[in-house]
Amino acid sequence: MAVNKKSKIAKFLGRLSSVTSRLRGKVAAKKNAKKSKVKKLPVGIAKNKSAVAKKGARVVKKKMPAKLTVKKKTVADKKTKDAKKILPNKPANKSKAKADKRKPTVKRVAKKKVDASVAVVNEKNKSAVKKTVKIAKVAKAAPSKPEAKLKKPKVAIASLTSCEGCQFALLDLGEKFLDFVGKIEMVDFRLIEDEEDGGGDLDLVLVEGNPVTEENVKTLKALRKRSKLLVALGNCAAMGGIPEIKNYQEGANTIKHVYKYIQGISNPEIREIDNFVKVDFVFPGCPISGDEFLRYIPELLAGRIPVIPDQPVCVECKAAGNRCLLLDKKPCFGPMIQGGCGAVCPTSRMTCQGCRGLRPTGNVKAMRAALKNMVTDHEFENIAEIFGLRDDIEAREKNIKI
Amino acid sequence: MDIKINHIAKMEGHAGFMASVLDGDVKSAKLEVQEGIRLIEGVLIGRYYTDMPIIAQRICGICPVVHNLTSIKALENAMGIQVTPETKKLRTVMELAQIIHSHALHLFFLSLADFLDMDNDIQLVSAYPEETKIAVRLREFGMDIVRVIGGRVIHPLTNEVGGFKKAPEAEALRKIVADSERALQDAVALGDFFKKIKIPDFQRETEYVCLSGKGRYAVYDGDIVSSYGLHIPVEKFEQDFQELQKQNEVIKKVEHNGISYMVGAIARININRSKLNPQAGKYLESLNFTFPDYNPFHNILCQMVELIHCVEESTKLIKELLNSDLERVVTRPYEIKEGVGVAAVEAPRGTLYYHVDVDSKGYVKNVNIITPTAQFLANLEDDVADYIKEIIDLKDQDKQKKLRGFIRAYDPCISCAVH
Repeated sequence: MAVNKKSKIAKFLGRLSSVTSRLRGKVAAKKNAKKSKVKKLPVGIAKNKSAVAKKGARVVKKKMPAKLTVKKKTVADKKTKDAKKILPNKPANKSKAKADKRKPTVKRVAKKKVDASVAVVNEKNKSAVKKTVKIAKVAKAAPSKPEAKLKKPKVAIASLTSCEGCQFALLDLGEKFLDFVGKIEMVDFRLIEDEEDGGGDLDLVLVEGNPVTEENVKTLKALRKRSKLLVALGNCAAMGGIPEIKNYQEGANTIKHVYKYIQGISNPEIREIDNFVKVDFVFPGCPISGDEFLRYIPELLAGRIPVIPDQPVCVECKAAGNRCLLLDKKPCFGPMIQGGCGAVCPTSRMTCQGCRGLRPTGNVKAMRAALKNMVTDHEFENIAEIFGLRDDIEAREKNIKI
Repeated sequence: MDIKINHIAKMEGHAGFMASVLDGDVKSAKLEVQEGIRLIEGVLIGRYYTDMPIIAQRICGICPVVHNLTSIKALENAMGIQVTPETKKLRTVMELAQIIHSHALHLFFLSLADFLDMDNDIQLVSAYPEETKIAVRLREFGMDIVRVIGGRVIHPLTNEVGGFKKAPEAEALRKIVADSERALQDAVALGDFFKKIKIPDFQRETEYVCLSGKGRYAVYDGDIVSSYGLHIPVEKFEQDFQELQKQNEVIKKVEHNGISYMVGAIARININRSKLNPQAGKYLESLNFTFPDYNPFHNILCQMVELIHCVEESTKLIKELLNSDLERVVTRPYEIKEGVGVAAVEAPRGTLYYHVDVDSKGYVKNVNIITPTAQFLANLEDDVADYIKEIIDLKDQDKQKKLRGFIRAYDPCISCAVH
């Protein structure tokens, strides 16, 4: 039954994907040529975490001996680049290349796309396309045992206590999300059918929300046991999110404001999921950025752990042509916060409140100094509470490696 | 005999269902909430008022717009802040767009399979590829509007007390107007498709409650009006409607004078249908409903009517805005004052109500949030108890299937209800 269900889901997603592709009338160019699995991370590379060594996973991923994977990546990248050189920059070619790259993983869908794109590839470009395909195949075939690698990675998206906004950020990617789903075997996707997840091993699990109920904690731990990689999806899972504000309030008072009968209601202090299980990667943000998801998910599916470049929100903010909010005396946390969000908040004239967390070299002291004339220390802490940043800032200031 | 459903998928949040039936008599029927608490009202207390819309909208990832708007409106009422008519209009457009993309999702992807006697969306999508495209397009139309005005779809950024941080680009609004013609065609086409689905014939009389006002089909403002003749200003809501918490329950269900009632699309259509836009009105007429309509399954079709209406209405309002000075939506200086404010806005699932108490420095002293799902939950359970009697002779599996379909037709949002 479980097998049956999985194939049903795959079938559905394949269909939906082809429906929406046709809807747009074009196949988006795919930058991330899918390579077969490079060596997976050695298990246990991330330290087992205790409540003290919070955020350990983040450190670990930076310490990770990434040489091997990086090297392979460069080779593959170079080849893709070469392929690009050969290719005139026409959509038809791109889609052809894409379709072929997808072939081994998504046979049925890929074939359709090839058919569709072949019609538009003119004679002149055909040879170029063939060349590209060849290169792509070489890049792909090199490290893999062909047959064994045809299996699609098994993925589950789980939601603990949350607004489910991060799941919807994925769904809202529309066609692009469905492209991703076409490449995997979705084991649990409760938005399309009633049957529950049948169990079994997973390659990747994406977890959204906070573990608040006992059931949440159980779910989280069980998923960790089943999955090779576990990834936090968004601010709540990664940093505690808005529910963490209650940790900074006066103990049990928060719940008393809301409920008359508090007995029997699970009301633990909010703790990020990495206090319960090892977390291999974080998609930061409230909600997560869909574009960023698409950028890093291919690596995760290949069993590798990506590293988000250490740059402040300011880089993208500047690139967007925004006037710096600090110049207008608006307390923007941008300089110390991990970029990659496209500076979506400051672009809407909203100050950065740090939902993506401190960047590795973010300088809290300098940030405090810069905001000195705009907010009091108390106000600074208040802003940092909104997205669960305050404990991270305090830890950084105490020089605890987080 | 017990009827137990462990988990109901295809809806927002986590819940199961449990009913016990003795000799054909339904002793209890209850939605079992599996969502943890986030204590949003509690965490807002003591915080600066500008944090409130930012935090409150994170109650829900499907309908953040309405939480954002309602909290802002409540704060403005508390501090006596007036906003420009352009601001109100732009906020209304956002809310209409919120309804469009939420309804499109629920109607088609969450609920439809239940009515076509299909097990899942797999069959649905392959059987109806054209309609799938249309539903996807409509959802994207709604999301585009929120993105253009709010800066992003989930947890929008530009709204604040007093107005908008930034006016939307006129060019982007013009593009929406250009897209709207197709969206309206799509909505009508989807409507025609929904006319063909077979809806169970089940009736149970109940009281309908929603916002209502003169002129327009009420979304952003209006008085609290009920199908039993109640007509009160929003300020009196908490006097007439009572939140009740039972031990071990995390959702505070709401009752009107001790009795369950219904909010949402079906309530709004029952009460405000005379104010629908032309195409939506025409479509409703073609459904041949007799009013008052007491079939809870009709909530789906009422959502369809609203989908058409909201496409028409949002286009109309955007056109009006394009003919006015868009910069007038940008926040102007105001004074922070002590006060109590309440506000209600029509969310996709019904009237959302906020109550806020702010001190003279702008810190929040007290908050109460009453969500649509918390309001209709008691009504849902009363309906289900009745409905079980009609399906009691079916096989267990079929019974479960019917019940799931019934609960989904209500479009409950458990994350909102618990918050």
